[in-house]
Formats: sequence, structure tokens, C-alpha cells
Amino acid sequence: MNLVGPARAIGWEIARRNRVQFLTVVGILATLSVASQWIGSSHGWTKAAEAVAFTLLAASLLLLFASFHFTEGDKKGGFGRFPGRLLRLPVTTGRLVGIPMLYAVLSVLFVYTFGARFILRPLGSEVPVLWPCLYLVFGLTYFQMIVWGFPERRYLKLFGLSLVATLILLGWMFFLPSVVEGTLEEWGYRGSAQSFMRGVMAALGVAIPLAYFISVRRIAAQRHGEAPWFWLRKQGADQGLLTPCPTEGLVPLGQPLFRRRRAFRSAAQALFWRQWCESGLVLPACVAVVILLISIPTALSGEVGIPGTRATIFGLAITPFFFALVLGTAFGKPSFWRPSLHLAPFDAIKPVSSGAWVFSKLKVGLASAALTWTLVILAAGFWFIGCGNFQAFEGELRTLGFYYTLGERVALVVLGCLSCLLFTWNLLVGGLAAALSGRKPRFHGRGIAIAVLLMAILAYLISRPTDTEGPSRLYLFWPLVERLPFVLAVGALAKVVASHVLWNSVAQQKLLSARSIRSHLAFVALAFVVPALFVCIAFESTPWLKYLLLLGLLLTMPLCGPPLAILALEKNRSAS
Amino acid sequence: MKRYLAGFALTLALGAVVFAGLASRSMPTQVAVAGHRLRILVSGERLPGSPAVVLETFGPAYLETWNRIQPGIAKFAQVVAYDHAGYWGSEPGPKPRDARQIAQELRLALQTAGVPPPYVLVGYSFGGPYIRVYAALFPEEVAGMVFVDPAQEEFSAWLNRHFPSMNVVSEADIQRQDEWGSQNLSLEQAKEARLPHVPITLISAAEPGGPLLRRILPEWVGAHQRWLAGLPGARHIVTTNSGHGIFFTEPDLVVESVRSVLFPK
Repeated sequence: MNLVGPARAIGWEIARRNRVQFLTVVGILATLSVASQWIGSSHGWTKAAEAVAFTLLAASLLLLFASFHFTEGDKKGGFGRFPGRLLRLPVTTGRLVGIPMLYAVLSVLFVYTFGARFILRPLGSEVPVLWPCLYLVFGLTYFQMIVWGFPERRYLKLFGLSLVATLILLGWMFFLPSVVEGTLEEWGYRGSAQSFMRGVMAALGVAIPLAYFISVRRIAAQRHGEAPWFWLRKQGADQGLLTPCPTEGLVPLGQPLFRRRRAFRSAAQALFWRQWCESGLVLPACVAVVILLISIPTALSGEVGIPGTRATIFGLAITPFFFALVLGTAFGKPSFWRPSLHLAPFDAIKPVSSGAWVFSKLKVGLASAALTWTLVILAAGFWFIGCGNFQAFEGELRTLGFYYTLGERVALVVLGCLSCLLFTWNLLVGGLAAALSGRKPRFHGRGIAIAVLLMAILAYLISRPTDTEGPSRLYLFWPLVERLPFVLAVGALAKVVASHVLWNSVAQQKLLSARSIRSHLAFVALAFVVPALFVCIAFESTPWLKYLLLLGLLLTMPLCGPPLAILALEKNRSAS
Repeated sequence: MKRYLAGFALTLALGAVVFAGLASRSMPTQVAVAGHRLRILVSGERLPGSPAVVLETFGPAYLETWNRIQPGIAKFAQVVAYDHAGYWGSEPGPKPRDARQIAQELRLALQTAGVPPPYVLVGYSFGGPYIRVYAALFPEEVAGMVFVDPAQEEFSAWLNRHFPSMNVVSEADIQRQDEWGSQNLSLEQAKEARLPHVPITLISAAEPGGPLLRRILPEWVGAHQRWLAGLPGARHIVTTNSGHGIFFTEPDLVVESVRSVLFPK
């Protein structure tokens, strides 16, 4: 193919890499537009169609964001960065950065405006155009600026992305007149909602070109080997690319935290240390950013009302689960920060058993989840005492006081926290087998399943009935609920049999010592008993629900995942 | 190692089977009632010649509301709780949702679930008027009645006069013909109901509270007393240890009252 001009070359490069994603987006838009024309605004399915349309449009926009990150791994083992080959193109840095940014902006604007005009409007849903477009372009350009501008600063990149993601997820509310009038008035703002929104749009309009200029500056630095004064250290001057180091992403104050002072007692400890440095702080860091972004503005606003208190506490409590579900996809990979699933040659031959390796990941996951929940509990506690409304949970506390004695309430709180920790851990390490197998279909399949689950939850939340004809429609699902004991029992039995076969295989191949297997199974038993106690106390008066939840707990125990991961890794290492 | 793994797997498998069995046994089921299905939970063993106990309350309360009472009664009698039509696990039923409709649906549900009469009816809160209408419609099926802090038409009229902003039933509610909207109709039906001569116990919850309760409680308990005065042999229990949530705070009192009606000395 004879490509003329850098714009066409870069465009071809982007299209080549992401053709599946682009075809998916085109397919979604085409299907939704046809369906919405057919369903119309007064059909019985309109509300459900609207929920599905919103969800799929959001998914399409996310897919475009992911497609236009336009980064590559580095041969020196670096992290995702602007494609190094393109830095040698005979074009100015301004065009080199501007072209992919422009393609991205135009694609996102097209999808949004097409969706607003040809998908949502036929369903009777009028959505604004100007501020969402500005908002999306702001998010996209800053996303690209962060991933291109700080290739070797892992934690800085992560911090920046978490900040931008949280701003995008929460900031749109400041375009709602009710929020502007209510919330800003509490903060002393006396102007009109319209002038505030115009001000925000103007700020976005100024910030967007700023992202472009910063990206140009940063790509120029990578291109021409400049080292701005605020870099921590510079190693080598090979084309201006800095050699990555596991701790280089940290600010100077943080580096001493990761400097090892004692010799390792064993290979397993060294392995744990390396895994911890690489990925142990990712989940706590992401959650910490969200904690700061949620709690600081609300703390500054003075006393928060009951709805605000409930929303804040709920938001803080749900954050670890959300991030663990998303980060769990990358957590299982041989290297958290590299997009590839292939084992590096050193990793394939290093003198550590596959079982020890998998166990080190499991331990890091548990420590990461524990640190995260400690942060959440402390932050939520201090925030609630400092600026929360003490009447926010009066109803629930009164009900708890009705049903449970003081000792039972304390037990419920402790066991509830431990259950949240174990569930977060489960989400974080659930994808180990798929990722360590090195097989893309398995790995991406799990990612797709998680994305579909999140979309289904979002669609349900948008479309759930709010009428008062009965407090619930449990009667629709009750025949399924009646069959659940049988279904769950069959599932649990199948899982038990599979785990027995897998652990026997691990033991026979000596991929893990007998002592380690026993200690893991003992831990699994403990991981069942703790939430089971919580369930037995909390649902003592509803026996059928109690036993169903206990069956569900059996199904979520990490019985098959670890041996599957060990066997998958062993096979991957043998093939490498 | 093999034996250890086999033992571990066997323990888990046994646990799964036991949990599944216990869940199935304690699971409420749906029974067909003239075109719709009601969720019902039958527990306990029925002694020969002994009545079954039927638990009745207001619609929005699901059958698990009785979870502190039902196991206690199940130790000495067969006991039934259910969701009213249109709530929780029960499909919507025909309207209006007045006491007569509910009584008829309950009777059909008991027949379909294989729980024949006679019954000791236990009515909590607005379940009181419902079981009065049931007893008037099917007197031969009722062997006893226990009223647990029941709603009373005399008290309802007093409340409307002195506190008109409380318990408001609007025109829209009446048009909707659900249980809330039909409550005045149900209270009228209960007022006209003639009860059979069976053992009756009424428990009034009179736990002292704030200024509002201090005004309402004497009238609440008084309405119960005046109504019982017209029922010879009826027993009145007044407890100051519990408020309206009596079967969370004093479930044993309710269970013993049922036992005393079921097995009168």
C-alpha cells in the first residue's frame, strides 16, 4: 500500500491495530440506530432499549478511548509509550502528536453526535450535545497526554489516569442545574447555574489545547533526548529514552520505601518482594485517589446532608470492588505493566517453581486488598466523624438494634469487613489462570465477560422500575430461586471434584510442596468459615437464604483457580 | 497427600449436599390461587386432630417478617406464613384488595398447599381485621384467634379525627384499590364481621414513648379493651416491654399465646 503523507500513514497504523474495535463500534452504532428507528418512542420496549442504548454507547466510547491510547511496549522492557518507530518520521512533533489526537477527537465526537441524533432521539431521549462533546474531548486529550507524556513514570501515570477517570465519572454532575444550584450554593457561589456552566465549558475549551501542547513538549523530549530539570535521574541517552526501573515511577520521598535493607531469607520472599514492588500498591493507589477526590470536596463543603453522607460512604465502600474487578485482569499477567502475556526468558527459566510464583501473586493480592480496605475504613471513619451526618444510617442502625444483640452487631461488623477483604482478593486474583496461560483468547475472554457483566449492571440500574406496585417483583424470579439449591449444589460438587483432580495433578508434578498445599487449603477453609459466620449471624432468621448464601460461598472459594494457574504457568514456561 | 485431598474434597461435597438439602427444606414455594400464585411457607408437623396456625399481617410485610415467630410455633404445630398477592414473591391478584378478597385467597392457598382446616388464625397489625373477616366468612374453619397489636376500626376513626395528617388515604390511593387504598373498606368489613365462639387472645403493645405515643397509647389499648368486652372469654394481655414491633422484641410472648389458644387447659 503506497501511503502518501504522515496523516494517512498514522491513520493506517491506527486502523490496522484496532480494526476489530472499530468494526465493533460501527456494528454497535448500525444495530442501535436500526433498532431505535424500529422501536420508536412509545413502544413497550422503549425504556429497556434506552437503557441498552446508553450502555452500549458508553461502551463504544470507552472502546474508542482504549483504541486511541496509541502506545507500544518498549524493547528494553519498558512500559506503554508513544510508538518509538514513529518518532523517526520526518514530520514536526506538532503534527506527530496532533494527527492521532485529531483522529481520536473526531471519532469520539462522531460516535456521540451520531448516538444523540440517530439512536437516542428516535427513542424520545434528548441529550445535550455541546458540553458532553467538550467534556469527552477534554477526557480523551488528557488521557492521551498522560499515557504519552510519562511513559516511564508508572505510578505518576496511574495517579494521573485515576484522577482523570474520577473527574470524568463525577465531574459531569456539575453540568446539571440541580447540582449547581444546590451544591455550589452551599459553597458560597451566588451566580446563576448557566453562567457557572458557561464558565466550566470555557475552562474546558482552554484546557484542551493545553493537553495538546504538553503532549507535544513531552514527545519532543522523548524524541530529542532532552531531560527536564524535574526528572529524578537519567540513565543513558539512547535517543532520549530513559531506561525503566521498578522504582523509577516514584517520587524521591517514596524511593527509600522501596529500597531493600536486608537480604532475602528465601527465594519465595524475594519473589514476593518483587511482585509487591511491581503491582502491590496499584489497587491501594487507585482507591486512595478516589478517596481523596470524593472526601476532600465534601469535607470542604461543611456538613453534608443525609443523602450526601450515604452516597459518599457507599461510594467509598464500592470503590475497592470496582477497581479489583478491573485491575484483576492485569494482575494475573506475568508482568502487570507490560501488555504482553508472554513470559520473558528470564521468568521462564528462573529457579522458582510455578507453584511458588503463583502463591507469591496470591499473597501480594491479599496484602494489597488488606491495605486497600484499611485505607477505606480509616478514610470513611474519619470522614464520617468529621463531616458526615450522624442521622444518615439511623434507620439501619435501629433495625440492627432490633434484630441483633450488641455482641452480634460487633461480630457482624468485624466479619463483614473480613468478608469484603476476601471478596476483593478473590476479584483481584480470579484471572490468574487465564493470564498465566499466555493465551490471548482466554485472557481477553475473561475481560470481555467482565465488561459484559458491568454493562448489564449499568443497564439494569438505568432501566429498573421505580413504580410502587409492590416493593419488588420477586414473584417473577421465584421459580428460579426455588431451583437454586439444586443448581448451586451441582456447581459446588463439580467444583470440588475439579479441584481434587487439579490439586492431585499439582502434587504429582511436584509443582508445589505438600506443606504449601496443606497450608493453602487450610487458608481456603478459613476463607470460607469467616464469611460463613457472618452469613449465619446476619441471616439467622431467614434459613433458606442463609443456606443458599453458604452454597454460594462454596462456589466462590479459591479452590480451582490456584492449581489451574499453577498448571497453566508450568505449561507456559515449558513452551517458552 | 492423596488422602488429605480426598478427605478435604469429601468434606466440602458433604457440606454442599447438606446446605442444598436444608435450603430446599426451608424454602417457601408458590401455590396457584385462582389465576395467580402466592408464595407460602409451611413448616412444622401437625399433631392429629390439632389445628394448623396461620399467620396474617399487612401486605407489604413479607413472610420472612415472621421468622422470629414461625420456628417457635413450628416446634409444636404446623404453621403457615405467606406473601399477599402483589407483594414480594406473590403475583398480583384481582382488585380491590380488601379483607374479603384476601380472606378468600388465603383459604384457596391453604387448600392448594394441602393444609386443611381447622386453623388458629394469628393476625398482626392490619392482619387483625383480615382474620376477623376470614372467621366471619368461614366460621367452621376457625378453632382459635390470636391478635397481635391489631388495627382497630374504632381507633382508626379516633386517629382520623384527632390526627388527620396521619395514616392518610387519598382519593388516588382509593382509586388504586391496593391494600392501603382499600383499608377503610376492610375496616368496615371487619366491623360487620361476627366471630365464632372460639378461644381468643389479644396482645396490646404499650411500651411508653414520646409525647405522641403518650396521647395515642391509652386510646389504642382502650379500643382493644372495649372490643374484647363484647367477646366473652377473650383474654387480653398488655405488655409495656414492647412497641408495635412486638414480634421482634417479645417473640416468645406471641408463641406462648398461640400455644395457649392451640392447647387450652
